[in-house]
Amino acid sequence: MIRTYKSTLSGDTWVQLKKNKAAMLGLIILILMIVIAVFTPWLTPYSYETQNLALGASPPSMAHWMGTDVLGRDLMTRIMYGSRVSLMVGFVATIVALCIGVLWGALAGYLGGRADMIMMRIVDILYALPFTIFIILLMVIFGRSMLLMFAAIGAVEWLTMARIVRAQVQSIKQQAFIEAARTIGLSDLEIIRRHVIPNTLGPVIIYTTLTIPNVILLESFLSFLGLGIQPPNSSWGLLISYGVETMEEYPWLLIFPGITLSLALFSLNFLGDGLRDAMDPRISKN
Amino acid sequence: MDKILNVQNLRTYFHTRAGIIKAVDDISFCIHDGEILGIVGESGSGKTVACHSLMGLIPQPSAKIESGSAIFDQTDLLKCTEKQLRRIRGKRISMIFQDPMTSLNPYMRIGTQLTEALKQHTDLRGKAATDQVITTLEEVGITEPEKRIRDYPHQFSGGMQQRVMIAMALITGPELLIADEPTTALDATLQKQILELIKKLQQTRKLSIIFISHDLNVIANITDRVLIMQKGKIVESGDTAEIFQKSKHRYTKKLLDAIPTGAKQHPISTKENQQTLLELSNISTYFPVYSEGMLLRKKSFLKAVDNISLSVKSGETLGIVGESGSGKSTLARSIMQLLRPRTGTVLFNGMELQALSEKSLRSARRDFQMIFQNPYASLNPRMTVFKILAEPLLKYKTANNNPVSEEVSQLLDKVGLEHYQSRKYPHELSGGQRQRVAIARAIAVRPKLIIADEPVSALDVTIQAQILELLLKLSQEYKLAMIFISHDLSVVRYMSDQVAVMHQGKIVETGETEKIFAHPQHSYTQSLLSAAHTPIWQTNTA
Repeated sequence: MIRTYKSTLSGDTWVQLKKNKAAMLGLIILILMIVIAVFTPWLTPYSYETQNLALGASPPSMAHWMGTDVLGRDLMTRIMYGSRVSLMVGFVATIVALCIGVLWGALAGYLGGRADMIMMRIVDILYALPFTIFIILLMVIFGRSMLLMFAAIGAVEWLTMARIVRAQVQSIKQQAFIEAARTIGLSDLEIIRRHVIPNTLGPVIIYTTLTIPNVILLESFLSFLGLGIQPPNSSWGLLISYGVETMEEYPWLLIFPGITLSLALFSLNFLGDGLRDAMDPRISKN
Repeated sequence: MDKILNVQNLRTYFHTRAGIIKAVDDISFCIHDGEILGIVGESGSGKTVACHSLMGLIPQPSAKIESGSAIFDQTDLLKCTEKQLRRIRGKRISMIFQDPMTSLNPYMRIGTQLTEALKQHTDLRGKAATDQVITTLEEVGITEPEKRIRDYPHQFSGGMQQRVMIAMALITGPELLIADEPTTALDATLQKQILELIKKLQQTRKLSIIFISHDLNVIANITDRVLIMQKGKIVESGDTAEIFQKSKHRYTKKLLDAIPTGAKQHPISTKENQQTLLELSNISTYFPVYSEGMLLRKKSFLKAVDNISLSVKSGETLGIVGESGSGKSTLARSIMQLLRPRTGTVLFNGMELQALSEKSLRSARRDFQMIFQNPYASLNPRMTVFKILAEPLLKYKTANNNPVSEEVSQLLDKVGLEHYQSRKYPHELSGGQRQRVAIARAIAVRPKLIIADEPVSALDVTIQAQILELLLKLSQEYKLAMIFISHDLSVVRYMSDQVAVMHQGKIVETGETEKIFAHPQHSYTQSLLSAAHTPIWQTNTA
């Protein structure tokens, strides 16, 4: 029985989520994308870096389903390899931002007073730091690496999350059920974990699904600055920015990476909406 | 007498995804010239929807008037276009609402708001309009109306705001006034003044009034005729005095019986040698009022609880009564150590609570629990009833080795809930059921003291009676000491052995309940008692 006490939330959520067709479709597409990303080397006969200058940019054909880029590389292969970077950046950086942001915001909002003021001023200061300068600074100090990129993106994205969570917590803190939890004798951490954070999940999930695409595009900006990945490696963001340059001559170089990214974003949004509803017992009905 | 409004076979249904809700189900009534008609019923009985249907104010398209007619001066209100209705609404039929603070625009001066109402329906402009506004404000008892028309709503007190609302409703000289719970948000003394005002205006202006309320005392005091509504139907109607003295319908009787009357059934006398459980000495809790500006500089203090000393013996119920803003809830939260008092000591069971460390205070909390006013807010919406009740049990791993599920079932039995309800979430329960869950949570860890802060004020009268019975039963069964806080004198009298009267942060009078009710010493207690209505159906029949 004590087990059910712990596990009913996740169980209920799953049951509710399964009823939501759009969310399930989103989930399936995302899983498919991850599977493809993992098994890419075995799924494609082409290499992402071997150039075929004789072929050049060719439109979609039987041999190259999504065409080739100006250097004659198979676009589909490059998108598949790109998804490895993009999905990893998208998820890892977002999870980093989520963890720091939710914890920081929840603590600041819950503690209030001076602690809140100091914590939020730190957020304000980091906000005020120009992103580009911040990145260049990191590069000068640490040099280039993928890890640094996660750190940089995480360091920027958690700020908004912290603010959102803090505002939520401040309103939840006023509710009588928090006082009721205090009268039971729960410690602050137990209250935050069991009563405060679950009630902030709605906005957090929505903001998370908005953060992931942000991060994926941010990666291409960082790569452009020289911090992210470098050619001949690829990512969705990079492919799209190259595609934009050659949009008029070779439109497929923009269209296919664009479709892939959009598909991922739609799936994420559907899944996010579904999760929010499934986690809120007031919306989901038995 | 002429019928000013004649309603026949009114049906208003709500079409929801869960099906059709018959909010108003075939009601017919009429109101005569210069009459006050009361509509009584519990929440959800359809009394407000009925009146909103007449005024074209129901939320469309989810609600729909299925049939009926409402003849007002030869026009059928239900068949009017929105344009025609607008000419009647606010000019010939006016409304006043429950909460004056949300009905007035906070960014507009009172004078401007009233003038606007006037401009909508009359040709009065400029000086003439202002004069009309000033005379109407004077009529509803606002002093120095020439100056006050320049004030904003928040500069008025709750009672004064309601007077402004009444002025706004009356300024166009309506023939019919619909008052929807106009005194519910007000304290007893203010309530009495507003009722007197409404009655006076009705006589001087020869108004007809439909007065909606859930409060039988108010209805009994002000209305000539009354309709009792239940589940969208009128179950009984007739002359007010007659209905209240010899009601025929079962539901009316149930409503009347539900009002707590008289003293506590088995009071615990002070002579019995009891141990003092809780001792407050010179407790003060102040709220700092900050001056404006970036640097939070302390300016002054609001003395919410001002030098209070009290004691509660084990097994005894202390009632604390006072109007809103008197500091009752702050006192409760100071005792619970949810707020740390500035000065004074709280001695509970021999322990000085403020002296305890955070950690030992948390374990000491087991012995004193609290029930909150609003059962809609005091339960975490994301936890099932089972989890809500299991939380305190797991926290203290109650000594006996019963599995938690067993204990939860026992708790549900104790508070009169079914076992299957443990799987439900709070929003799936009614207000009364939620308050039962909150009570179960409070008694789960077998405390010695329970502080109940207005535990029934958010509930309907029949539910209120059930919850009061439950609290009485549990306090006897577990020999619980209880601090019962309420603004409602009759409820406090029904529940408490001892009573303390609170006014502006101070205890003005304390003693045995019956002695205080029979011979109030302090002038404030006397005015409180005189403001409370004596139920006419009891004084007359007794």
